[in-house]
This record gives sequence, C-alpha cells and structure tokens, in this order.
Amino acid sequence: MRGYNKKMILSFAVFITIFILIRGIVVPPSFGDYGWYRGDSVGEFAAIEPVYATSDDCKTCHSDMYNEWIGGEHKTVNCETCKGPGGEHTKNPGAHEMEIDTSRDFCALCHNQNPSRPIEFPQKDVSAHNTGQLCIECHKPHDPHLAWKDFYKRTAHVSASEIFTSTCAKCHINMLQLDAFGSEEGAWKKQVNKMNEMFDLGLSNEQIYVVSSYITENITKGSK
Amino acid sequence: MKITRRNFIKLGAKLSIVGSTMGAVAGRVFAADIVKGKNAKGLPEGYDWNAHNYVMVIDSTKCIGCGRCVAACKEENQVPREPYYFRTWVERYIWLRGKEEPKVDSPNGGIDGFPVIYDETAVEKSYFVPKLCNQCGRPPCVQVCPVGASYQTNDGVVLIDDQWCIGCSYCVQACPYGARYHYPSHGEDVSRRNTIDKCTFCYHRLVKGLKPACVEACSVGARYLGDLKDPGDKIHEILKETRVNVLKPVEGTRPRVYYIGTDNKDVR
Repeated sequence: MRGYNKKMILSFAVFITIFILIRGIVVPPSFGDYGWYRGDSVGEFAAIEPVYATSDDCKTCHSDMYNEWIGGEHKTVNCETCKGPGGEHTKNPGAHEMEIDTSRDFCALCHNQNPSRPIEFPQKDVSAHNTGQLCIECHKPHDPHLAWKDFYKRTAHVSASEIFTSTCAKCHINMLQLDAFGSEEGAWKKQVNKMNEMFDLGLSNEQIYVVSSYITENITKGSK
Repeated sequence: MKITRRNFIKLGAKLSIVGSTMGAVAGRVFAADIVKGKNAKGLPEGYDWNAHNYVMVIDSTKCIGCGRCVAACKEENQVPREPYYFRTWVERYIWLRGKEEPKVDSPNGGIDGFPVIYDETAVEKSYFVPKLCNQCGRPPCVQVCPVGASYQTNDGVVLIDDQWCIGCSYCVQACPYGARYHYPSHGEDVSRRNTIDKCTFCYHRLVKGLKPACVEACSVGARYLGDLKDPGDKIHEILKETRVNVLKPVEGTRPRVYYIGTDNKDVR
C-alpha cells in the first residue's frame, strides 16, 4: 500500500472515531429508545401536575351542592368551567379560594342571543332581559330552572293564576305589556283574569303557560 | 493488491447496492420490533401506551362559542394569556344571505365569546368550529423537525420535547392547520420559553385517566375524546353512526380530529 493510501485510511479512522466519541457524549442516553427522539421526554410529560381537577373531586367536600347540580339543567356544566381551576383548591382549600363570577356578563358568555348558536340552546337577548338585576336572582346557577316552570309541572291541580301570583310575580310583571295596561297592578290583574278564563275553558296549565308565553313574546310590545 | 480503477468502481457500486438494500430491509424488520411494543419509562404505574390510541370528535352542531375550552386550556397548560397564543381556539363561520363565501372570525380565539355582528335576519347559516392540533396519523411537523424534538407517542399523541427543541419553527411552517406556535420568552413555563408549543391533548392528564381540560370545560358536549383501542368506548359508535369530516384531507396528514356538522368545502 502506498504511503498516501495509508494516510487516507488513517485520517478516516481518526475522524470516524472522534465523531463517535463526540456523538456518545452529546446525544442523550435515552435518544432512540422508542423512535427518533429523546425517550425521557415522555416521562417528563407524564410527571406534569394537572391544574384542573374534576367535578367528582369537588363532590368529596361539596356533596350537597353536587347533588343539587347533578339533578338540574346545568349538569353538563362542570364546576370548574364557571369557577376556574380547582387543583390548588383541592390540595389546600383555605389558601386557594375558588373564583365565583356572578355578573350578568358571565352568564351572557353562554346564554346571550347569537345567530351562530344552535337554535335549541337556551338564549336570551341579555341587553333587554331584566337589566339591572343579576341573573342569579331568579336563576339559581346550580339548578337554573325557573320556579314557575317547575311549579306548574309538580302541582297540576292548582290553577295557573294561583301559580303565577305565588311565584316571582314581580319579575313576570316586568315582562308584560306595561305600556298598554297602564300600571303594574293593572297588567297583573289583566294577566291573571286571562289565565283564569283559559282555565275555565278547560285548558291545562301547560297549555295556559304556552299561550301566555307566546302572547308575551310575540304580540305584546317591549315584552322582553 | 492490483485492481484496475474501472473494476474498483464496479466493485464499489455492487457493494453499495447490496449493502444499502440489506440495511434497509434489516432496518424495517428489526427497528419496527424494537420501537413498537415497548412501554415507555416514566409513565404512571399500570399505564401501557401501546394499549391506547386517542382521537377527538368535535360536534360543530353543539358548539355555542362560549370559549370556556380556550380559557381552560390556557390555565391548564400555562399558555400566555394575551392574544394569538393558542393551543386550541374557536372560529365562527357566517354565511350571509346572498353571499357564497363564509365570513370567518376568531376574536382572541373566542376566549371571551363572540360579539353579535350581524343581525339574525342577515345571517343565512352560521356555526362555531373549535380547532386544535389534529395529532395526525402522518404528522408533517414530526417529519421536518431537524433535531428530533417533535415526536409521536405510541398512543397517537404528537408531543414536543422542550429540552431538545431549538425553536427553529420549521414545524410551525409545516403544520397545515396552524396548530403550533412559538412559546414566547416571557411565558409562564420557564422550560418551554423560546421553544415550540402546541396542543398535547393534555397528555399529562390522559396518562392519569383524566380528560383534557377543553373536554372537561365544554358544557354542551361539543368535544369528545375517544380511545380507538378501547372496545367499550363510545367513539366506535360515533364514527359508525355519524358522517364525519376532517380538516384539509388533501394534505395527506391523516388528521385524527373528526368534525361533525361542518361544510368541508368551506371549513378547512
């Protein structure tokens, strides 16, 4: 073998050895374990602590509120969706209080009238619906159905006007045609008389409710 | 030893062809066995990543655009709170009467909801489309990573090794869905600063048997995380009974987030 051939083979051998040595130092040991990446990274991800808990975690301490919630319309809305992350709170409840936003804007985030929302989703034009009051004054967030709707379902033998006068009549008066009837008391009496007429005609409470709602929403002015 | 130049070259060519073929075959045969089938170290006790294959179903007919999923994700994953840093976001598609092309908007990712811009009477059709990393079956972001920081786990989730990522953003360019972003130098999570970040399906929650933060936050059931390898999972029923779309199927990425109720000619 000529001198220059020997030198060439030697230089190649030296460079390859240096490369392997450097690679052995620089490349992390777990690289290539499961694929072309650093295998330890998977374990690092698994070790991250979750920030959110789950509604079942809330149940351990807040069982009565949980039971109220799970039987109502908001059962698909998890506790932390409204109150923020609960991981820290479950570990140290005193030191990390949950945030409770009771403003109208917060309820409006989901429930404001929006043409892009599915039509069957409960929505209201928040700018016109009982402004000046908090939503939670009438709609309990953990069980948001209106007492009026539930009452007529459970007490079918009671006349609609009795139900109307005995539950949240003041809020409902605002929904009536205040201008046309002249006064709150006048509007209320007219509404009650109409409902009694329907009851006498033999309409069920559910039918009376449907007719009254339709008239309020579609025929009376400024009805929201 | 005496060998002509011509014969030397011929010999070299034959050896390279034989050598590379054998190498390729051996690689396909042995590497596949070595890599698949092993459980990863560092996963919680009892969790075998080979026993899961996570996909997500997003039901656009249910989404109300409240943005709680976007907010929950930012809290769970320390995503910078200011606009344009999102692991997941919600878009709104509005078709106005008389117009063929939809108007698409996503004000701050939908995190504060969507203001009503068009009156009900002007809107012909409209809905919300939440988007996130599609955890593709053939992820282009994994393919282009020059250092091997972007990878896919055996349970189908594409992750980014923040200790190894150099922040070159080649993967941000490569993703056709815009799911990846550069985690800023002022971000909350120090180890992720100046690397690339994206939705991980909350992998740190999945391995503990929890659902991702966005799925937990959704009040209307628009997001569903399923496990294809679990025979009892509702995902099989969903994929059999509903017609699903994916985003940009023509790119060949084989995305694994399925959409119900989107117009795939416009929702890309």
